[in-house]
Amino acid sequence: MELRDAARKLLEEGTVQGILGYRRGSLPFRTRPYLFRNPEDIEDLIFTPFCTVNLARYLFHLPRDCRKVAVVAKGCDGRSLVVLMQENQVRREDLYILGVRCPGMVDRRKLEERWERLGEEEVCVAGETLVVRGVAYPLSSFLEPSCRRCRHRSPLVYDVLLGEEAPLPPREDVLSELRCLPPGERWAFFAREFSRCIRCYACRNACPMCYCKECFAESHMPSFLHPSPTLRDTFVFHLGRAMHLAGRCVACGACERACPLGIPIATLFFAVAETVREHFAFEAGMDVAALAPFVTYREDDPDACIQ
Amino acid sequence: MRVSSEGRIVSYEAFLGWFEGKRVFATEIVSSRLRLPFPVLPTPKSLLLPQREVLYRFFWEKRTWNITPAFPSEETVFLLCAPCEARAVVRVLDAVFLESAPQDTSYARRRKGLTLFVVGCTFFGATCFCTRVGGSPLSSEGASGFVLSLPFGMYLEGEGPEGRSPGPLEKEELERVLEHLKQSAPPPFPERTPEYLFQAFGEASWEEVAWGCLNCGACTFLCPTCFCFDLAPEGRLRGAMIRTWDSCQFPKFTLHASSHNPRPHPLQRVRQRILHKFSYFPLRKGCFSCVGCGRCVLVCPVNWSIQEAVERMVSGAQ
Amino acid sequence: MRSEGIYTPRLLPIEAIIEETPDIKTFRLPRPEDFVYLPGQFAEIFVPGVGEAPFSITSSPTEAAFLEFSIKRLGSVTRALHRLNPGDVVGLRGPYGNGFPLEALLGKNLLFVGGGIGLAPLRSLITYVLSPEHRESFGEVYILYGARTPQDLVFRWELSRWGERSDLTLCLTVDEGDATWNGRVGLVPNVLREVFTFPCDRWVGIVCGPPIMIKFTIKALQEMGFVAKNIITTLEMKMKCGLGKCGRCNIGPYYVCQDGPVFSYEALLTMPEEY
Repeated sequence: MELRDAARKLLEEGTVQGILGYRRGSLPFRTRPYLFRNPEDIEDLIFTPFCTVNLARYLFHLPRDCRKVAVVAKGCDGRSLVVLMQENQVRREDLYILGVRCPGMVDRRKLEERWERLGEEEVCVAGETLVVRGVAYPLSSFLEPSCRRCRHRSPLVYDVLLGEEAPLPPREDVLSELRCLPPGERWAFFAREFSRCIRCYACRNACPMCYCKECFAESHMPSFLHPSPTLRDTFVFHLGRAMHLAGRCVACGACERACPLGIPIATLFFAVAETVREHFAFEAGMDVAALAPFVTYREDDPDACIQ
Repeated sequence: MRVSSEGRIVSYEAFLGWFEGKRVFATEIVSSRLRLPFPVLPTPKSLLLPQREVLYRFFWEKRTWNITPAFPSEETVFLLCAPCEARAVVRVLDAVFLESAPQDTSYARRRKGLTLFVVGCTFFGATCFCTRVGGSPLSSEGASGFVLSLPFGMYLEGEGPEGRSPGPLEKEELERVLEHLKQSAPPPFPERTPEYLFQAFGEASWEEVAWGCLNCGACTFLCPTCFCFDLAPEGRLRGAMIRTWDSCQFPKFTLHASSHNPRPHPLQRVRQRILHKFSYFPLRKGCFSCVGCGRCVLVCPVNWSIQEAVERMVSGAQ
Repeated sequence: MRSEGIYTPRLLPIEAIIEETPDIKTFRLPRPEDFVYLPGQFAEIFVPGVGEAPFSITSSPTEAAFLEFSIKRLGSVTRALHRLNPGDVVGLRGPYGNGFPLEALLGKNLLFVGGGIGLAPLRSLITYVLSPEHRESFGEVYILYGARTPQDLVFRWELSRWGERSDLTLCLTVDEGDATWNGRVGLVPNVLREVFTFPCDRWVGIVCGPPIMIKFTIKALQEMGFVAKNIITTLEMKMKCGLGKCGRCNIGPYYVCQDGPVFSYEALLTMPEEY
């Protein structure tokens, strides 16, 4: 496989001390992030439509002796890396971006819901179709919401880009249904979903942009929210995070996929990303040199987004 | 693994009928395997040690502070749960909150009203490892009734509706299930696992074992045995002391006010979780505080497996 | 109020507040009759509307009428406590923990080594040992106490009273002196090596202070010939329930709130180094 060869070479030649990539998990459709350090282990390196974790997060989990690291990057991981570079969390020269062309990530929960005891070998992706037990289905109806609305499936900044170029399928507006609802019903939707939240912070910990040393959710002095999940405090947490990520969130959907309860958290972040795009003509993670909208000030700012 | 001679066969309808008029819940594991009309709970912990619980209320009145304790009712509740989950209640939660002095008043009241009804397992799920930690898919420990759903009907022991004795064909089928379970049961961890792990505390391999874990609280919150909690008041002049779940994976779990933290590193927190379940608790109370339900592996955002971690550390220490 | 749930505190008015240092105050509460405790135990103090935190009891069981807690302003609860006045009401539950092993100390010479607010739990035992009814049960007493600056020394009036007694030796040191200070200057473990020159076989060293000071003092004591079982320390740990239930104060299989906070160094050696 092209990816393994490239990765092995990087390790063997000592270009990098480690490769952040994916390994098979212990369950069907599960993959595990892994830091490959030995060329012999590279055989385990995989890239499938189930590599849902955003590897940019793992830049904060590197051992000290791993000075330069290669990251297997889908489009969204790549954009996250760009934001982290913008925010001086990582330097370009310490990164080797092993770009991969992403087919879109398949929602394993949808597969598990529809087919019982489905094995991974019974599923394959071919172009824009998903073949399950020999029957072809349109891939788009099984993709993660973040992938259905994705504009850039391949990283924009990379050292090498692997895989065959494929045309980008039409972009779906995953928020259209929600947007049509009257505000009251929209509120009810979020209240219903967030009332299930147990505040385990899996969403935050899976997010590459949530690298604050002390999260406002856990701050004691001052204390912003109570540790028990009342709907009110849960809203404060999720909305607070959404505000903090405005203009920084690359809408990768890693938060939603990390949620053990399957709460559609990313819906909030898609909405925020679209608001930022609409009002600031800005998309996070596109350009290392670009200034993020919330750290720039212009006298003539129309302030439309808060009116 | 055994089947008692008092076992009886009842229909699915008769089984459900017996619960009519009672307050019944089912755990997620059970309701994922058996079609049941009862409200679903993640684990028995949600009933006995709810994520948010008022311990006492305080209020400023007549120019001074007042405190009134709050107690849950002793309401009778039935819970249909898996054998591993019943063990989590009896072996772990009861050991901490009932059997260790002083008894936890709220827990004791809730526990008094709770009747566990175990739904036995006919197969090992992808993440199941109860037999590795001393459990069994057919254990009825702590339960007033035990039921096994088989193709010919419900096989029942203990409390529950009347039924008929199993016929020879049914007995044969039952034996087949038992035999299959016996064959596919994962072998237990070595007896000296707690000691091995304790000795392995300083091993360098923890770093590799712990790598990948995001240090979120999904595993601990959805674990049937994880009982660690926080006490945090809510409200200023009128409020309550709330008990809520806490997780050893959170950096503030052990942070002192002086800013000293005995476990500042994520690795230490992962190690704490494993050692608490497989070394510290057993050294104190004589049994693992993991019942092998495997839910932590299922809900983990990165598919991190405690079973693999224990295996690896034990095999290194042996 | 005890029968009303194990986490419910009893409300008590603050009788007096003594300002020890710019950031340490001692709070005196009336001692309820059924509050029976040992030196070295701790209690949970609840400030309504703010929170609850564990504090070692500074007073001695020989002082029948009151309980004292010396508290440094650090977190949200201690900040709130420092804003209170005499007459204000706080919640109290306890006592918790094991306390000092009094029986094992009988007849021994006692070397107390305290750093900063770490003198608080030691003071409970010191007062107990020095009380007329117990003084004869113990041997010599040596107290070495250090703080960052002269302004940070706690229990000043007590220190001067101790200094006047002929049945104990008191040595004070500060990390950093000033114009008013004519005593010793130096870190506790270093001063300990200098001043304590007795044969150590009949002595028991009792240490409390910040974690880093405890570590180095234990090292110094060992170098001076103290065996592990004759070194006793009392540890601080984040504790919420105080009853061995909330699960956060463990060091290996031991809960600091139940098996501690007092541990011999011999016991600490068998535990993982996570404190």
